[in-house]
Amino acid sequence: MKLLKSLLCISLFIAGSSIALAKQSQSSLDQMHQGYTQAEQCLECHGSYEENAAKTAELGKWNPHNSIHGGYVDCTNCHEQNKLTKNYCSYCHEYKPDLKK
Amino acid sequence: MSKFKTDISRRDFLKNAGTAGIAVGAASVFGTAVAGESKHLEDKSVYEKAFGDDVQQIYVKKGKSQGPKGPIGFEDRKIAKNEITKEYNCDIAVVGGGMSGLIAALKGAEDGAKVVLIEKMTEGRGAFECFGAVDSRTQREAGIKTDKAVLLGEMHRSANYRIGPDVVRTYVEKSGEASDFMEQMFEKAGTGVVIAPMPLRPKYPNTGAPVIDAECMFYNTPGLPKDVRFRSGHVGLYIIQDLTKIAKKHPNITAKYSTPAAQLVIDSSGRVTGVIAKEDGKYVKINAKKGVILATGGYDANPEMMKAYLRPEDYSSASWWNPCWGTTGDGHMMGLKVGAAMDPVPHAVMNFTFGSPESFHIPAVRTLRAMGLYAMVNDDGERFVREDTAFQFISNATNRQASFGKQSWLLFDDTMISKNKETFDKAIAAFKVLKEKGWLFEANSPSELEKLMKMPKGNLVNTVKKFNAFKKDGKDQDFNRDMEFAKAFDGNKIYALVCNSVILATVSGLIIDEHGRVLNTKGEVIKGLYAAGNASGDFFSGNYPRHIPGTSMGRAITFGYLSAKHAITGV
Repeated sequence: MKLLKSLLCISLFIAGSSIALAKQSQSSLDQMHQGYTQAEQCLECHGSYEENAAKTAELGKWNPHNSIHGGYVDCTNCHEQNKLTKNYCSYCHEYKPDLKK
Repeated sequence: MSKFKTDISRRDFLKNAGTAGIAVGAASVFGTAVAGESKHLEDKSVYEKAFGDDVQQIYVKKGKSQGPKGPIGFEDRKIAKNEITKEYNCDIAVVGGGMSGLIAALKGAEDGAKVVLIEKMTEGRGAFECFGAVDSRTQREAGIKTDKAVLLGEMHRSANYRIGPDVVRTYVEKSGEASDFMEQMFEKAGTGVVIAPMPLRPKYPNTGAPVIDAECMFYNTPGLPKDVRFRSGHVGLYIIQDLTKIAKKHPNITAKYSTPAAQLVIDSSGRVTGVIAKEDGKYVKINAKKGVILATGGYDANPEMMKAYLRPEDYSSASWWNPCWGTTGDGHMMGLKVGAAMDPVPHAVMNFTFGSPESFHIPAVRTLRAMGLYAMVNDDGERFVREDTAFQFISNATNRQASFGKQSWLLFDDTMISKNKETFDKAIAAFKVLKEKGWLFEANSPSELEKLMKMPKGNLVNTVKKFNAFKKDGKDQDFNRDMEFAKAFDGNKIYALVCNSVILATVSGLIIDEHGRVLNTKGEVIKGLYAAGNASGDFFSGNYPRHIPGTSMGRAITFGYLSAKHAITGV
């Protein structure tokens, strides 16, 4: 079971790495995320919250994973499985990381 | 006393954790106390179960809580001795690094106690610009004399007399002293935080409530970053950063962030002797000789608790504003688990008007003179509230409309937008985005607007006609609004801007005494346990009384201070 999960994670990583592939296999990517509804599940495959914060560090003070307001921020607030469903930052701020680093 | 009030088995706990089980990687420092909906309808949530079996249920349809979800620290299961990897010893443990927690930690440390401060998030929460106080240094020097009896009377009236006399009386008597202590801490930091009396603005002169001069502000602080333009709400973030800096430097304080508290430790006599927390994903025990102070805030970022303890209409159609989501009610739950008494349900929410469907209408509303001039209508084009009443009442009336599927709208015309040309132009420019989002409608006449918004024919036309007649006669026959401060609709353009209720915080919590000591359900002190700020109770009922200045922040400062002051005694 554990091996299966690891394999799943690896294949997910590969799928996610290539945009072209991800586009092609959208439905299988969706399928792969079925049942993954809790933040803890997200982190199992996608790395720790801190690792994700580091991945988006180039967004500077607009980094949603390391904002001035403090984390940890539960993944499911903005992400629903493999989709980004809302940007909570933009609810109060004009979210323009490119302009206001 | 040593008996837990609640007994929730590990099996239930796991069931409630949902599909994730407890497969938590080393990465996550948080437990999976109650994440997600229970799979079985007959199961109550851990928050409902907290009251035990001898509970009367008031049946209401559950609402939908659309607010943010914060990481939960509280764990209901029994954490075994062998799970504890490390122990720390201190005099006072403070749980939560917001306003009340920081003041508690600093007061304890200044009086010589060894303090461990733990905060679940990477930053403490601060979203304010003012705080309530009576007879603080700055108020005394400005010659402000608060009528304490009037303030106290209005606090009781606003809580519908559902509270005890001790906590609010203590607030009125001690908030000045607590404020002065906080001011000393700012002086120590030397970053230039300035406290000044909040200029008295009689916002609600005709609603039966007295206008009370009992508030201080941080607006004039020169130490603030220059880009903090819209200071309401934003200033607090920097104030908290300032106090955090002082706390971290204090030789008597060990401050640990990303360290959620999971549960309290009690000895055989029922005294609270410490707290179990998670540090780097592992359980640690903090032994606190003199006391544990719960300063965990409210639970607005815990949808399950919102559903368990609030009126469904208060959260179902509201928007959320606060950006720091550590407020998941961990302190409430930890207290309940050791037999603490809590404010009766439904709890009081701090709500506000001027909401967009996402948050506040910040850019648009700022530009409107219509802040005070608009009329308020529902989807049928009919008024439903006096628009000049306190914000919490407008919020409630908006929620009442929403219960029946009706959205609320601020109705104004171009004569009610700022007279300053630059501000006017800015407002019109901001309207473009609002229109695209479907939040704002513009028309050349009320009849055109009601058609555009698919309101019943003639309703809005009639409402505007009536409103203008009320203005002319000087009397609002429907809601008794003070028409002196209203303006007739006689412009060239008429607008309707969507208006939600906004949730800022929850303000009900554990019952405390005048020293901040938490009481059990018999009204006896639970030794060694304190609560302050929004984790504490016996202060509000129904709504947060927005027309009384700053009692939420004032309470946080006062009872953070008093809790530490009493805990030091070790009684």
